[in-house]
Amino acid sequence: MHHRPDPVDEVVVLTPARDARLLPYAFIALGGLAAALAGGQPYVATIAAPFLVAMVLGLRRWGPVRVRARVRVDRDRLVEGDVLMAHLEVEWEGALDARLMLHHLTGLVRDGGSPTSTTGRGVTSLDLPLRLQASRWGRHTLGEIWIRLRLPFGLLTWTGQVGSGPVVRVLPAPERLNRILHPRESRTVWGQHPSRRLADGHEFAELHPYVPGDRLRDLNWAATARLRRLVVNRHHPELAGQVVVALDAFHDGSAESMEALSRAARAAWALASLHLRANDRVGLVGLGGSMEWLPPAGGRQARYRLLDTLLKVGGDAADGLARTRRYPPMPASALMIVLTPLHTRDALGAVAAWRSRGRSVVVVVIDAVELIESDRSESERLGRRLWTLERQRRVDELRALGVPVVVLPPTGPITAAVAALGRVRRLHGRRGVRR
Amino acid sequence: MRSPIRTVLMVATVVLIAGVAFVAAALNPPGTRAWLIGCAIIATATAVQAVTSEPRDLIPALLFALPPVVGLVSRGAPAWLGPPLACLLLLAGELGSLSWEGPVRMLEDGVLSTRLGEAGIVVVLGLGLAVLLDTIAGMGIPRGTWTMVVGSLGLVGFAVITFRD
Repeated sequence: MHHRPDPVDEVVVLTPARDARLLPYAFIALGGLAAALAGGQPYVATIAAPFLVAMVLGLRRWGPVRVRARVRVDRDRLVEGDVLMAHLEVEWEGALDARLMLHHLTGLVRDGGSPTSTTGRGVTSLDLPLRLQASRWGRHTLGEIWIRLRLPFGLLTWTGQVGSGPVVRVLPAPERLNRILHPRESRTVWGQHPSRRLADGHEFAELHPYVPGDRLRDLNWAATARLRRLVVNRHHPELAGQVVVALDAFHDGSAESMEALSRAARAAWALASLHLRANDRVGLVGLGGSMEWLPPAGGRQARYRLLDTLLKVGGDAADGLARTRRYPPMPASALMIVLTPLHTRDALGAVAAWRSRGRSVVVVVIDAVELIESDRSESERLGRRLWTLERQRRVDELRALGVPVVVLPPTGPITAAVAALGRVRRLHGRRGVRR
Repeated sequence: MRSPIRTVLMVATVVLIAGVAFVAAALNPPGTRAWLIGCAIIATATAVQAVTSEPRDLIPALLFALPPVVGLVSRGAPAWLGPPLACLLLLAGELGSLSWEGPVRMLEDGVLSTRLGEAGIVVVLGLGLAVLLDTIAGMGIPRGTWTMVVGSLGLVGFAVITFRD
C-alpha cells in the first residue's frame, strides 16, 4: 500500500491588476464629464454615460483577494511510467470568474488527455483532478499552480501563482542485472570479489605444502597421494570493494536524449543496487546541471542516500554545454563506472581526469542514436551520420586513454553490456566479471 | 496562429471603431468634417494596430474616434446619435479586450458567450443611462451643465454603493 502524503496548503494574497479597458474607459468617462462642464454642453455627458456604467460595474471590487490552495497527491514516490493521481483545490472569498491552471510540469506528463486547467463562473472555489504519468526519473515538483480571477463585468483581474505542488520522487524503472564488476583492490571485509590475497574463500588459488596451523579440511588428498607429502589447497578470499557510479546527466532537450538519460539512470540504479547487495561500498557522481558527489558507503542507509542523490541528479539534469570542472577525487581502490550518452564532452573530461590519477575506470555508453526516429530527410540522415561519427570519435578517445568501453543498446538487458565490459576489462589485463 | 473566433473579434472591433468614427464624421457640419475624417482615419489605423500587435492598447483608437461623436452636439448635426454611437465604441472596446484573451481554449470554454453577454448588458445599461440623461437635459430639468454633471456623478455614486461587493 502506498504512503499517502499530507496535503500541501498554501495561502496567497493576490493584488488586482487593471484590465486593458480600464484606462480608456476612465479617460473617456471622466474626460467627457470634464468636457461637458468646460464647454457647457450637457449632451457631452450623455456620450460619457456608457463608459461610466462600465466603470461602475467593473470596479465593484478592488481590494486584494486571499486565495487558499491545497494540493493532494495519492503518493509521492513513483517509478517511471507510474500514474499519479493529484487533486488541486483552490478557494477564495466572494464569487468570481476563475481559471485554474497547472504550468511547468517537469518529469510528469498528462495521462490520457487529462486536463491541466479548469474554469468556473461566479464561483468561490475550483477543483482540478489531475492524472499524470511519471515520464522521467528524478525529484520533481508537481508544477506551478496559477489562478486568474475576475469579477463578472470586472475591469480588474487577480492573477498569480498560488502554489507549487509537492515534490514527487520518480524512481528509475527496475532493470534486471545479475553480474557485477570487480574493483581493482578489495577491502578487508567479506564480499563477493575474489581477492589476490590468500585466506579463507571459495576460489582456488594454489597448492601449498602443509605447514602446522593449516586446517586439515584444506588437505588436497589427490595431490598428497601423488606427491607423497601433505599438500593443502589455498584460496582467494571473497572481499568487498568500492564502486563509484558516475552518471552523465547532460542532455540536449530532445525526447531521445531524455530517454537515453532514463536508461542511464536505470542502469546506474541497477548497478548500485547490485553492488550494495554484494556488500560493496558504492558512491555516486552526477555530472549534470550541478555536480553531485556522494562518497562510497555501504549498507541500507547508503542505499537511501544513493537513491536520494540519484533523484537530485535527475532533478538537476541540464540541457547545457560542457564546461571545465573540478572533478571530485576518487578513492584509489574504487572502480569507476561511467554511464554516459556522450552528448557532451564533459564525461570525457571526467574520465581523463580520473585516469590521469590512476583510477580504474570503465565506461558504458548509452546508445541514443538508435532512439532517433528513422530519417525523414536528407539533412536528418546527414545529421544522424555526423552524430554517429562524432560519438565514435569520442569512444575512440576514451579507448585511447586505456578505458574499457561498451555501448549499451536502447533496449535489452544491461546484463549483456556488463558482461561485455568484463570481457573487455580482461582483454585490458584486468580482472573480469564473475557470475 | 489566430483562431477564427479571435479573427472575427478583431475584425468586429476595427469595423465598429471605423464605422462609428466615419459615420459621425460624415454627419458633422461641412466646416469641421475634413478634420474629423482625419481623426476617423487615425482611429481606424490605431485600432488595427491595437488588435494585431503589441501594445494592446485601445486608448488612441477610442480617443481619435471620439471627436467625430462629440462633434455631433454642434448645431445642425443629429445630436441624438451621440449616445448610441458611444455605446458602439464601448462595444468595440469590449470586443477588442475579448480578442486579447490569449488562450483559444478560454474562448472555447463558454467564456466567449459569457463575456459577450456581459458586454451586451453593459452596452444596454450605458444606453439607458445616456437616454435618461439626454431626456433630462432635453426637458431642461435641472438647468445647466453643472447640474447635469453632478446629477450623473450622483447616479454613479448611487450605483457604486448599490452594486459594490
